[in-house]
Amino acid sequence: MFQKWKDRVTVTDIVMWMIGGTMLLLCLWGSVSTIRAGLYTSSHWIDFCIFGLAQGSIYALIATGYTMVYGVLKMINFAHGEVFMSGPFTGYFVAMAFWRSDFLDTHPVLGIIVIFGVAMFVSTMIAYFLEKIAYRPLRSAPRLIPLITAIGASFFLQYLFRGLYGSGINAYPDIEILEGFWMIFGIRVLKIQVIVIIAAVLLMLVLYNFIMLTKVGKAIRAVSEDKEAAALMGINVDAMISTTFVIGGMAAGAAGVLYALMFKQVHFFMGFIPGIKAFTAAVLGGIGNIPGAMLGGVFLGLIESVAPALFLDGLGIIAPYQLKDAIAFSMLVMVLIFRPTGILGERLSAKKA
Amino acid sequence: MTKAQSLWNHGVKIGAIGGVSVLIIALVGMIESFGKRDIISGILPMGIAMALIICILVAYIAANKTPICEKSVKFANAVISGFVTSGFLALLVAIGRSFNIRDMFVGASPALYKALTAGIAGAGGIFLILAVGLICGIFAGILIILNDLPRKLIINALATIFVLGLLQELIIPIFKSWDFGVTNYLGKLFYTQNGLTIFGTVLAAVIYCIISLLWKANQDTIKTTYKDLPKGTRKKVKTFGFFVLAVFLIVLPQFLGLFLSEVLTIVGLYILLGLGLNIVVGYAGLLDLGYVAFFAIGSYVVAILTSPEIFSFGFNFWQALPIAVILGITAGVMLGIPVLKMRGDYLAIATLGFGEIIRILVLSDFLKPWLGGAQGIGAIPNPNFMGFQMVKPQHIYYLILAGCMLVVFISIRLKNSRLGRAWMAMREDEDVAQAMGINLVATKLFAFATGAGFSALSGAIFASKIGSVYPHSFNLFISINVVCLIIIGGIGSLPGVVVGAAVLMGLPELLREFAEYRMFVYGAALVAMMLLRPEGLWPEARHKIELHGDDETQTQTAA
Amino acid sequence: MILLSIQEMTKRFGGLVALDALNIEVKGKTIHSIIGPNGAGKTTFFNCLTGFYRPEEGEVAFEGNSIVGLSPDRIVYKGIARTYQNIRLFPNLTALENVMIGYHVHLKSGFLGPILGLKSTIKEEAKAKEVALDLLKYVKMEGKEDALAKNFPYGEQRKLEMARALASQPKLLLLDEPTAGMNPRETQDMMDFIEHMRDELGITIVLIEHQMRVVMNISDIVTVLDYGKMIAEGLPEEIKNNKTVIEAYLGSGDAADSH
Repeated sequence: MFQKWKDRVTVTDIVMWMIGGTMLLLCLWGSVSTIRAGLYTSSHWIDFCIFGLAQGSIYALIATGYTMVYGVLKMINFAHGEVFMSGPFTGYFVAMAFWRSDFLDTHPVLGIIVIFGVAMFVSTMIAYFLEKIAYRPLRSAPRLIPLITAIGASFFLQYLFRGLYGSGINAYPDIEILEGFWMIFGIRVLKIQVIVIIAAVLLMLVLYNFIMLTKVGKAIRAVSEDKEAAALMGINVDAMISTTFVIGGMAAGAAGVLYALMFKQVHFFMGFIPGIKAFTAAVLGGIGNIPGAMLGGVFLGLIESVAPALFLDGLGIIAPYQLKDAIAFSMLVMVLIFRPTGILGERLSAKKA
Repeated sequence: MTKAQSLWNHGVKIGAIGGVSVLIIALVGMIESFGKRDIISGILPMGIAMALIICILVAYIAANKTPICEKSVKFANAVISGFVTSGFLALLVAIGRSFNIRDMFVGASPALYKALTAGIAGAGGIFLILAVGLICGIFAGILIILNDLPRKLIINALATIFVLGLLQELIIPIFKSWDFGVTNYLGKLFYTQNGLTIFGTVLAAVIYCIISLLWKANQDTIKTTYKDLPKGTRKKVKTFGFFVLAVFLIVLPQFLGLFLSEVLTIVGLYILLGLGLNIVVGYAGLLDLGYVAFFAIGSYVVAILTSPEIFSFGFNFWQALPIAVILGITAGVMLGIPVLKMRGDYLAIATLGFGEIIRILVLSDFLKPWLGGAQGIGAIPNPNFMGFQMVKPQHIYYLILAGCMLVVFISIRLKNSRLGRAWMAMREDEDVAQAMGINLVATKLFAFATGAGFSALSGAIFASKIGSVYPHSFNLFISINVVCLIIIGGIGSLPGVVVGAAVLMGLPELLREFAEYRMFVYGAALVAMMLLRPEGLWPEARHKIELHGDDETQTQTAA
Repeated sequence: MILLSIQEMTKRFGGLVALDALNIEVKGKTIHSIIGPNGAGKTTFFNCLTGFYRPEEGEVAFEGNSIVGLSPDRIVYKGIARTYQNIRLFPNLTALENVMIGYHVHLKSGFLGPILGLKSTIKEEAKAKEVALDLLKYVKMEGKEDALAKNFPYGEQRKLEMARALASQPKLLLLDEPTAGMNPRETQDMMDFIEHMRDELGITIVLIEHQMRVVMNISDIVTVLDYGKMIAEGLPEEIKNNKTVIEAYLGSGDAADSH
């Protein structure tokens, strides 16, 4: 009996269970002791949650791009974070020009729309050409090659924008109507955070309906199911892949401006960490699964803003917010280890990963 | 395709691509910052040389891609695309002079315009750019029309001049350090303080042509004589070659000054890192982007054990070194276990995550009492070898050389063994490898552990070389650099690692202005490499067999 | 003597039942063919035997010992080797290396052996090389050991894959459509080769095959699968005239009429 068991359970399984169990116990212990210590009031928690939702909805928007590209090309578009960065970084100059000419005070809504337009355009162009120049020739190459290309493209784009626009951290201008608080159900919330959440949700609804209801959306879904079959059905696969990048680029550009408006700054490296986090979100939701990516993004944003206080403070860790990114990365690794199919996704088996 | 279509498709469109490339190089500031360094003294600054090279290259490609065989069309395409490329620059100068675009593009400075127009103000400068573009196009067109031999000669002679100009900081100090009458004379003959002399340029081109013509005439005889040598003699020639190489490597730092030795140690450290990662990525096919974590572990272990700043364990370097390596291996196994089941891109991202987690933890205040936080750990003593204090980079060089030799030896031995074959089988097809009886868990862990051990070894040397460790020295870029260098050198190839490290790490140190554009160029090089030459600069010997094998199958099918 | 005995083996993919309570017994030193229409579960059956899939239910006994749930590499050690329907060589390794990897299970050296150049390791390596070269000769590919696997023509790739499988010196060899894509002459060669392996090397062979001519000529026993169920088993002659089998392949008369 023991022999049979020994043959079938490997040491690695046991190690993995131990890692998982330890993490779970630490989190539980941390949360219990944090709550018992009562360091934070309920209004703190609400603040954390709203901030987390706002940040998470930005991740969600970026994550849709990752997930869609993974759907059609089965590759991680490592440079998607740079697509996200390029838009708002370019939009910054428009914003500054408007700000200097007082246009943002006189016509704030129009101004913001123009900034969004410029940013989304630039991001879209970057995504489009990225696919066309770097990824298209490698479609049939072994899987490691497009990934390395994507990493190269990512650094190229980062440092291209660093060279073009400078290496400094540029402060986005304050826009009057986005400042201040609103009282919602007696809770004081930052206007900008609410606006970010609403805008992101609206964009995601549009995107989701586009993918699910339009003919192009259907074609994209067909391509992600089976390229050859889709081609035989008369779908132009190349065009659909380009379209996917374009849509992902638009979503990322919009997300970028929301990010810039919320954190009031842009710089050339801003895409890297959100990019990886959005990838985490996409994996969380099950890569290839669009609603999953959206949920995963929101979930990750929430965890990230709540977890340092909830899990780590109770464990007596100093300055837990320094470890915010470590939590996101641990989450990524944990999901990849224990549930590579994600929370919602069943499309990608562990074998394929 | 009609001629007019071809002119549009190949001449104008490819010219436009070249134009955008030149524009990017100009706007990120490369032309301006390389403008201070001359290839040919007083005539050709390196920035301009780069622009010219792109212009000629693009024109050449445009002509080469033309499907119409008529030479006149090819020539016309070359001229057009050269002109179009320069047109973009002319446009930039025209716009930049009349409007302020510097708010957005930091590189669009008056100095750039001055460099581009050779200081000629007004419309004259713009015409100059266009004229130079046209000349480049004509030059490329002539190259296309010429026969193979003169074309190769011209291109390679120009490349020689460029490389000589590029490497002046490497060559001049070597000439100087010898300080014989001859070398001093040669140094003065070829180089000024900045760039080649005109006479040196011409001479270098002529010498190159003569040597290559001689080689061309005699290469067959030389090759056949070598082949016809009896086996024993051939082996002797090879052993002699190795001996010469060994002597060269041992005496190398004696010729180089302090600065070049420093560069050499940096390159050496990256070779060491690259050799380790080569086992993980090149042999076993596991793309590990968190490789820097083990480098960090090696460094920190040595720092903690030898430095009196945080704890006073009072170990010396040699006592700390094996502990660092063993802990690195342990960490490799521990980080390896969770990622065992992942493949390809998931593995890459997960290991990247691990690397970042380690860096963030080291940086955090939480672990500061033990690891020193952002201030790191200083006062790491220099290694002491049999009573001899290794202070200078020249001394550390030998340490690194020994490390490299060890790692190369282990790599070669492992490659042709059961384990090495298992690694390569796993790289080629994991499922089939398992169906051949290969235990994936053990094989992968061995790969991670070996790579991690080598990484920790280089980390340990790094810590004692620098004398202090900071979390910022261990960011993701180290991992990316190492991945870059083994890919650009040629995945799985040991000489490739050396070439990759020399090109990617050595060159930027020699061209200090380059540091700014390092990641920019690496990124572009990675993409270009994957698109054009995925096997790398110096591919594994296997690929040569591949060509050989091709011939074989071809003759067979013919038979 | 029964070498491999499969009882009630069931494999499901979600709602789809790929293998439905299979009972098959393979006798030693026979050629046992598995046939069936496309999607009958033949390759899934192989994947379950070699540990690549884990059947939900049932028992597989090889030489009397259970091998269900063992990982693929452990199953190779028990003496089962396989080839693939769409050839899966290690494309960027040489022919010699491919075959030497097949011999992996008989080698013992680990990490330190090759580094220190231990005598046992060197001896072992020489033996491995010798075995591999012999096998290449056996499949008539001598002199081509240094060419990369991907550069061989189709027929030689099949042979190389066979040599690699043989290198593990298996007792049971699972061949997945070894004659796929071959012309009549090559097919005949392959048939001779398979019979040779049974007779000279004493290997038991389980064969998935589509070409009826091959099946009928060389099989000692034939099992027919359809939708994961065994619908017939017997000597080639019996199968040839079995009504259920003909129906499974051609469809029932009603279905044919409705077209």
